[in-house]
Amino acid sequence: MDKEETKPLLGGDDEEELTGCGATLPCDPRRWLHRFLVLIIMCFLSFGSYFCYDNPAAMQDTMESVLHLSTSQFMMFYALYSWPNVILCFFGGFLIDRVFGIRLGAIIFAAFVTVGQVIFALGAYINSYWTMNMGRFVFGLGGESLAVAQNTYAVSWFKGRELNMVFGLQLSFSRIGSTVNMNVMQPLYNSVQNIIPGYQGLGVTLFLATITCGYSMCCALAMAYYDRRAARILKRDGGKTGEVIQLKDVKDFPASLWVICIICVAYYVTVFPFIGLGLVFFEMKFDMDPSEANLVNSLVYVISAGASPVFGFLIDRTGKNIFWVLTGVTFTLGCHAILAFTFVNPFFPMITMGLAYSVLASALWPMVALIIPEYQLGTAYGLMQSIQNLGLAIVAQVAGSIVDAKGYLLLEVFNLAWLCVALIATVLLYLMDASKGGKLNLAAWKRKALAAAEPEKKPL
Amino acid sequence: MQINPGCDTSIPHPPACDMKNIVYAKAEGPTDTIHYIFSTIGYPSVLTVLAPDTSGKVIIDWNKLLNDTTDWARTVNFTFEPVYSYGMIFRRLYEYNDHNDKADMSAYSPEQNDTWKIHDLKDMKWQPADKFIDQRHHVVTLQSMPQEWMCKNHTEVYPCKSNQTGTISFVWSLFGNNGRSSVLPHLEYNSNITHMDLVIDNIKPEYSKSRFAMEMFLMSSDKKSHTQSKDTKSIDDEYSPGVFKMTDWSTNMGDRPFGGFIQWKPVCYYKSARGRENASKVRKYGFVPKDAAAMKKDFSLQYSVPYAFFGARLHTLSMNATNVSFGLPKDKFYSKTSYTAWTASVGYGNPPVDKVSDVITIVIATGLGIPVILIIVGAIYLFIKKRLAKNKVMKDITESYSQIQ
Repeated sequence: MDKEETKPLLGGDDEEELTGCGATLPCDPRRWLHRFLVLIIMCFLSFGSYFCYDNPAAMQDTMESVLHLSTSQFMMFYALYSWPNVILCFFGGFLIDRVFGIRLGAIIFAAFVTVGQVIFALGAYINSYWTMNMGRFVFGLGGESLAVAQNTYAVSWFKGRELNMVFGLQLSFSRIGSTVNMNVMQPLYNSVQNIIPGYQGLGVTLFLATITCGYSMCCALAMAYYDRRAARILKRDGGKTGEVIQLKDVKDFPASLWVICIICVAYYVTVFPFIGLGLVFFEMKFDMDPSEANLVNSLVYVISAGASPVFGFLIDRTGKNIFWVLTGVTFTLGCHAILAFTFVNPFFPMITMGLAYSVLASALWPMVALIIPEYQLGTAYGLMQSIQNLGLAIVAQVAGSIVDAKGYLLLEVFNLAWLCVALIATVLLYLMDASKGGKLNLAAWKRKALAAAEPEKKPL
Repeated sequence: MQINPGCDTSIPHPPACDMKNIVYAKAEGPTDTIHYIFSTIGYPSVLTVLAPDTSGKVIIDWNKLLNDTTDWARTVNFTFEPVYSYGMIFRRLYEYNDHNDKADMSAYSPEQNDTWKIHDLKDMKWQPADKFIDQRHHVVTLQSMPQEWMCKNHTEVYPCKSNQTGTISFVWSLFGNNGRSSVLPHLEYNSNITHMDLVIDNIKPEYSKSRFAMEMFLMSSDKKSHTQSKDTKSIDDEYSPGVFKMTDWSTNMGDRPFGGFIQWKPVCYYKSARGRENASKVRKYGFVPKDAAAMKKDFSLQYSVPYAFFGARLHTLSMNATNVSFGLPKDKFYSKTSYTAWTASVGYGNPPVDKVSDVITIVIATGLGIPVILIIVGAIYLFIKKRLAKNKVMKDITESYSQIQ
């Protein structure tokens, strides 16, 4: 029979025929296996950035002694990443939406990350503090925006499907990257020291860390290829309305997005600055020795690395994202209250906090995809991350001052107050959403039913 | 109690006296007086004597004190019969090599090699007290002389050929009212309390992992030995950020409700600009009651002002000894900054108890109370709204039903 005659009459004649290995299960974008293989590439996209971000923390003592830095000079490595990113990731997201597109954008930001780390390593090699600072700044130009790109990719490939699990998995990878860094860098430096001592050895060690960034770069290139291919095969661009985001669209973002940003910042400022200051708290209040205190302090990270994808999967099955966010906030509230007002062994509240953080992170970020159209998504995520970075940068300083002046009890009360703000914002979000039809808090089966009903509405 | 403390440095007649330090202070109340003597004669010590009236004073037999090196009994006397007396003697500064970096000196036995160096405090020379005295604020610093530090082979020849430059200081502060110290860890004080700051500054450590500990004796004129040590834990660390405990070591009189005490927070600082970031831990060890028989065998405490006052009675007093050591595992030992400062309250009566301050209570109440109220009000509002909506729906249905009929 002729190929012409076997073609179906209505529609479908634009379906691309996949040939050769392109037609096999792993390479077919319509099938789940391909999506998950690409997911692995997507997760490694910012692995290099997370790995290298915490290089200074992993080698703080070494850097301070070999490069003769004071603690405040050392902290500059982090300040140069956080403060510029208060506004940069918003513009990064906007550039992704408006100028570069997601594929080119991811490649560009991965390049910034790699180049920045190279400059940082070079600065250590020649013992130039200011070169290292410049390297961290360039690194920061790429780092957070790359995370925005990763979020946008995730929505593009997994919206309406396993989006919560994917966000959970991406969070996992970021934690794993950080943990691997903490455990690998110092021993690596110690081995390098035997061959090349001093700050040159430090530079070489940091160059070796750049390999992870190079790997992320390859992932960005691979993602660009697969994404373009999938877009062609699935005809994703056909659904696009041809709209392009304008800067003034930002003020028209739905109010729900701003409330989500408030929840995000109000929650995250009670977790990360607290972990930064937690070591002494656990040593002194609960009489733990430093290694035990370190373990308890890192519980949130360790647990979220494992639990985030699991909870993400669960949330995909059940839907009702706002309910999960509420659960996460409430449990964290309880944990901080226990840590503040009782002497209960901190293992229990910290483990619970890790689980609550996993739940919240997996449920909160995908909600943005439900209320923002795809052509504005990069900007929306950029905005959310900008606000989060601003909150973290400011509160980290404030938290330190509070502890130095008035002690840990007041710090915990401060955290509890922020969590109450997050709680109120979540309830507000629920009300706003309920009055608009309840899109954000749908049970998963309802959401799928609505999505299935939509194509039937299109005219034939 | 209205108190007007006065601080006289009683360094009378012979010139040899200026190398001895007896600092005498009187805290006068409306009906009674507390007499303090801070001293570095022999062992550094503090003696506190409670007088029944306001007229008493101290009489020191300087002749015997300066010239007789064998027996100082009863060289310090008062013109009245003391109601109660207690004192503290600081006998030894232990320096130990913390091999396993646990900041716990009980892990090492006294005979262990390459571990211990004992600095006997009576062998030190001290700066004259009037060098560092602040009459207006009632603060006196008794500081050791750097070059007269104990030699390795203990000899009587001075000056020693050691290149030691460090000092150890006892800073005593008296107060005329109630309040809180302006310096971390912000211990409370009242007119029955003197604050002691122990500063170990720039001592050249003997070992690479040296840490220090202080041995102290607390004695009182209680006949029975009711000395007890109490640790209080609190969730509130507003006065001393990062420190949640307080230790009280008090001698309770058998027939009176309170006696002498020493109170401290288990924190020391390794920089003179004290802050949470340069705080370290103070570890206390069990205290050992010294009975009369043990005291009779140990003559060392006779070189101290408390012995000068109590005389042979010292052996019948309620006496206890303990050690406190300074440092936290992984804090890079004493040599990181070569400075350790520790503050304690020595006083009479009930040791002050830290309470959550009003400021914190108000902050907690508003910071958490307002959101909780908002949430409750919001929940009630939502509930009522839902009820009303439901009622309206029911009403509409029944209305339309009745219209049909």
